[in-house]
Amino acid sequence: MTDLARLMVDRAMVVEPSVDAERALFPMLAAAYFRDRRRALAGLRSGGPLEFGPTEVVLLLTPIMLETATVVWAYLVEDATRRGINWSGEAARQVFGDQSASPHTEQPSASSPLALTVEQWNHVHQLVTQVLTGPGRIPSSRAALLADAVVGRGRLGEAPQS
Amino acid sequence: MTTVLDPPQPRHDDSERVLAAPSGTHLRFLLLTTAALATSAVILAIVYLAIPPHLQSHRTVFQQCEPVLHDPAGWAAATPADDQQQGTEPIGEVVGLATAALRGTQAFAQCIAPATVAQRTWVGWALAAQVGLALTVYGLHPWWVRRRGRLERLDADADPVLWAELTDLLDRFPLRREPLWLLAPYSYGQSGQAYGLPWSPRVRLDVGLRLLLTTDRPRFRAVVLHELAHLRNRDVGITYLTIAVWWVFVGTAVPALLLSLLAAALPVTGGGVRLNNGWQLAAVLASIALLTAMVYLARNSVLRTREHYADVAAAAAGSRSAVLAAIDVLPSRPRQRFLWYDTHPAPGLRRATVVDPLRLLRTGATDVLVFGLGVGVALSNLLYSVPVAVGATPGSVLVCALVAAVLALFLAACTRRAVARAYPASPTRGHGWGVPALLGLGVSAGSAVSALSAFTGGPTMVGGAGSLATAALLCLGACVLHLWFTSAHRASWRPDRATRFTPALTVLFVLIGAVFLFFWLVGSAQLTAIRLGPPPTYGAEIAWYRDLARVVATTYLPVVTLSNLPLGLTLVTLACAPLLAARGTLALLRPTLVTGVVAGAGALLVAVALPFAAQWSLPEAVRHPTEGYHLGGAAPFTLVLIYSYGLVTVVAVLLATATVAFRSERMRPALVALAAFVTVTTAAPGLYLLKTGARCLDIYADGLTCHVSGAPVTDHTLYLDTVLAWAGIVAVPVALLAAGAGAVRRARRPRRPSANDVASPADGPGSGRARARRLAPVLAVLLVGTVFAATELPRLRVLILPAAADGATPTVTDRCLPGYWVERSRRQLQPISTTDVAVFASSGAVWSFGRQGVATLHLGDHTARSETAPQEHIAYTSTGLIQWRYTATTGRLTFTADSVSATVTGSVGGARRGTITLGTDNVDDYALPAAYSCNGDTLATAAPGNVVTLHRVGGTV
Repeated sequence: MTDLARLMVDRAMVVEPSVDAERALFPMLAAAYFRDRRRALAGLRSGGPLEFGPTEVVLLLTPIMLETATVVWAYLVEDATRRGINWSGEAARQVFGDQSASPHTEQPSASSPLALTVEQWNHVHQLVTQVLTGPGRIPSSRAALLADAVVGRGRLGEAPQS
Repeated sequence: MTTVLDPPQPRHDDSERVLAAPSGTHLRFLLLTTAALATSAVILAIVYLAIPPHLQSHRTVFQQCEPVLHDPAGWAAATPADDQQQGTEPIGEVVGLATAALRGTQAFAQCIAPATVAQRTWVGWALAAQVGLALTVYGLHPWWVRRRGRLERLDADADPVLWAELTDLLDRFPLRREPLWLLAPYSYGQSGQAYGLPWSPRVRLDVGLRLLLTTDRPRFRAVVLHELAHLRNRDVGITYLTIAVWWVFVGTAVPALLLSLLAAALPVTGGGVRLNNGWQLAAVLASIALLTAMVYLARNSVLRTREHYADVAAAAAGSRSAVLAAIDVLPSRPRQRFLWYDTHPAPGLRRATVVDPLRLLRTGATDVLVFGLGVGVALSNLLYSVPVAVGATPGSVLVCALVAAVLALFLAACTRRAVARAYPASPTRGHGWGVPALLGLGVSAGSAVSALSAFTGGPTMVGGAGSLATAALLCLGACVLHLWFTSAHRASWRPDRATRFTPALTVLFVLIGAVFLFFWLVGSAQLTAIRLGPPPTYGAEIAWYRDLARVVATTYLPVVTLSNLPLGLTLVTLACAPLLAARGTLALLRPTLVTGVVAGAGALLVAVALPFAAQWSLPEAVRHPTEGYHLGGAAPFTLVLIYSYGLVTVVAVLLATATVAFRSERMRPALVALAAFVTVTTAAPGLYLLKTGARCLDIYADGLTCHVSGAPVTDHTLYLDTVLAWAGIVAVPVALLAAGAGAVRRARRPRRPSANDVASPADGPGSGRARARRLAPVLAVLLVGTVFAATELPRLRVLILPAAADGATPTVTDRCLPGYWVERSRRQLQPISTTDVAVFASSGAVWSFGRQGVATLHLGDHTARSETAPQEHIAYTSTGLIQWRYTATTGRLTFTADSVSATVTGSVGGARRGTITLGTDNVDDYALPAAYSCNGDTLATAAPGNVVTLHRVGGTV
């Protein structure tokens, strides 16, 4: 799931180049997310004596993408269980077009049991948007862009990364 | 690595000047901590008495000691030797009376010692626990900050880019200890925070700040540099320590006080602090609330100042524009430009300060006032706590030294900032007069609103009931000393080089301030208590002589106090230190030296003329009365003659100082002091001239031969110090007026620069010979002054260290004995007639055993009743105090009565039969039996027919 989230963060960089700065922090932010999910999503600023710096809270996509990955992962597991298919994190990353997930296997085609249908991709898109606008508190227009970047061309019936 | 910043810039000139000048904030931190702890001490002392058993034992001891307080014998007058030495002079009488009063108070204090020692011990432990708690809270703050933010330690492998950036910043802004960098994974702001212990500094970085490194690198660097500046400025330790102290004060002392007040309202508790009325309760609550709020607000004010300093330091070390950019994105609340209650300054002020760092060198009126309030509160409470702990005189001296140090260091910091800001011009009049005057007002007001004053209803307020006159005196004294330091510092300071004289001048400022503060505390209580002496016993019919005799016999207690202080030493210091620091030339000193010598020589002429004038104008009956007595307080002719010369010397000092103050511009305070010193020194031999002239003219008509007549040097110094005390009281206002008049005259009629106006030679290079020539006149004055002042040292030693003067060393080898003991039971067989004896039982008398072989028995209201009398019960009620010399060797005690101030009243069957006054020859029955064993807190003594058991109630005497 962490790898799936990292993949999503990489994909979000297409529309949010500033997310690049988060890549160095990803391990720490992921650990913080799994330690206290609610606090990681709240994203507050601290305070205290001798503190200095802009008080505005910046938007960190990593915790939001971790939350997104959790939700999407749950959906994919549920769908695979319903269809009686073996499912793994590697497979999930393959579905999202991560070629490094399993370099020796072919890309899942539309006929592969692992492949998602257009409707399913639409549902994933909807889930991502919901997380981004809900816990992520991202405006809907920007959330839609980010969701497009995460889902890729899956909604068009093509491989997501292509 | 390459950076987006320019190469390190040269430090901004103004910033350098600002950062080199003392901010005074660390002193304010220290003061707030002291004020909180001193108030805690008073509150704890009150809380101690709110506990019923403590209150009961306190009452018992005080009731027992009441006779000592009211017994004139307890006020043992000055010793005959003292009386003889102080002789017939009115000053001696006053000092003798004051000494007697002091001894009376000491006897009472000694009597109530068992109670006060127990209270002192309890308060000491409670205070120590409070300090320990504060230190614990402070020590745990790094753990708490890390735990609350779940901070992650940053290392080079986790984020090489960030690590490299931080390393580069540390290279630009090196610290004594490299901080530990920690990332706050749940904090999405873009700020940093410095914290940690002195040996383990830490900086917290928000993860949002890491993003700023990518998006806006200069701003990232500005934030980190700001935090590093906090570490370099040593803001961290003192900030968190003060916060810890404040929280511990609010969390322990205040609730304890409130509980004690509440307990008094509940009848079932039987304890609590009972106040006289609702108004006193309101005063106590208001005092505590005010102190709490004041400490909180002052603490935040200091934190805001430290933020400004960190901004300026960050701007000087990095890029000003980046710091300004970082400040510009801080949230700004309209209509809250000053944010006087916040821990951070308003962004507008921060920006203005970074643009113009010299703003930091201003001293705000509010800061001065609040500082003064804090000092007043601390002073009032310390004067209650410290003398109780270490003794009256050493305690007062210690408190004076501490408080004067704080006040003088604060004023010195203000001066150094003002001089640095105004250089090369003079600081403003607001600095010269406003700052010390406000400080004095603050101190007076602070003592009036302290918790101690609220509890006592005002009588123990420092500075003589906090009257306007004493407040004005404090303000005036602070102004004069402040002007002196400003003048001296300005004459010796240059922005382009460090001067070694500044610390020396500051130390002197502290010492002289302590002398003045001691006088203010001791002498200003009787500021308006001036009493003209009685008419002379002989010659009262001659109007002018009667008036003169009454004037010289005038009693003015502040002068008595002042003349017991080392005034000569003070004067020499005031004169020579600034001149040495500024390398004063003979050209600068010459007018002052000439003025002083001329004035002193004029006084000498009067000294020669006075015996002739007395012989010519007064009949022999006045000069040599046949009867050898004088009415109480009346000045005899010899004293009138001597102090007439004293008056002449005072007038000479007055004229010299006024002339110098009127004429001089540069280094005026030092020159005025020099004029006074030179005048007094020149006029000093006049006392010998006068006495010798009077003797040789035989104006006393006593037929003694003509010879050089004078007085021992120490007496001479006391005389001169008395003259100086009078001169100081009169000359200070006159010199101030003359200086003002001179300034007005110069403003109306500008003149060519005089020798005084020539730039200090310190500005230019000079050969060693030229430097020696410049220093020679000052060194000569210093040498004469040192000889003059050295004669004051014996009196100073006696004044400060009365106990040390005895040269007493411990003589009792049994370490168990020294301390306070209460008799638990005494059963003693005593004869009641020529044929009968009875066993008498008693308890409650208190013994104090000193290390020097002196024991005191405080009888209180001690009653011994017969248990085995044949018919009616017999009772002996003894009151008073018996002092013994004792020895304790090989388990045996021996007592020799030294002084007795006690009576015994006998009664039979409840009917009083008579009272006798005890003497050293009939108090053997009150001594302890010879055989003794001392074990920890139990002392048992026994002899045939006499057994006494005692229990320790206090530590060593």
